[in-house]
Amino acid sequence: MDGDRTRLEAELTEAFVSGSAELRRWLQQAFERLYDQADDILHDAFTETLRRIRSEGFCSSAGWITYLRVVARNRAIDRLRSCERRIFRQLASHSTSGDSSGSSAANLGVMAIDSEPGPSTRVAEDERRSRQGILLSQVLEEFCRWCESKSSRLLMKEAYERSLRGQKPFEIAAAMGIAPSDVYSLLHRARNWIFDRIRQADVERSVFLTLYGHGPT
Amino acid sequence: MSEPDLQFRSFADVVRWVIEELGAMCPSPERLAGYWENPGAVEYRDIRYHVEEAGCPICRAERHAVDAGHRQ
Ligand SMILES: [Zn+2]
Repeated sequence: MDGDRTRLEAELTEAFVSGSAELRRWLQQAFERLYDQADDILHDAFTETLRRIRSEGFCSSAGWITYLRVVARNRAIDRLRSCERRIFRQLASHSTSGDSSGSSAANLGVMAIDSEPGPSTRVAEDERRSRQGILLSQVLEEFCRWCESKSSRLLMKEAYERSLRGQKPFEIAAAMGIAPSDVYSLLHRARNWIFDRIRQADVERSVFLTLYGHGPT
Repeated sequence: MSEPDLQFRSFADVVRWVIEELGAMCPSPERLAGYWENPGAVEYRDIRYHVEEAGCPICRAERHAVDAGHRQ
């Protein structure tokens, strides 16, 4: 048993040492904003995996590099999400201070991404997360999984992503080769799903304001 | 090197940041793998848009990483 864990630890360490340059390249390409934090994130992914080996004899069937990539991706997104929460909190304070025009984000100023928070900050952040519910990025991720669970919803996913990225309905219709009326219908259904989801969940009020221009009623 | 900064001019910018940098609209890993196997398949047209036209850096980096793994 202990021998197995020692062997797994050795395999993980060898994979990490030999693959770290490739992992760093991947991480910096995928999350350019975290370019300078790539080594920290990879180190976190490595120690987290090591802990799993030591505590439960974990062995990745997909290979250590693939597993480290999954963990590192999650940790990178965690860092960006803690930034996302701060941004939305700031948006909420702007909107509650009387500016709901939707054009005041220029006043947001500069949001710097913290380097890795200390243990007590992390505990506080975890507590806030459990109290504050889910973020916009998580709602959208759930929407994607919901669309992907049924092939007839994939057109809606594409139309909504195009819309979120700034395309107008007539542009979406032309790009997707469907009627503008169908685009309106797809976007309407997508927005209804998102709206229902964020009404159910304890979502930052500013998420409503961002997507709909008004708060939950 | 200094800390990276985020500046937004509008609420729409914030939404775009969430989908461009946090991977909020990325396909599931299983469907993305299916897309690399068969990029022309009609059931992956949403991913074709996401990867080829919108240029999602997270999905593209995944592709390069998988290719590099296969070469080794
Ligand atoms: Zn993606």
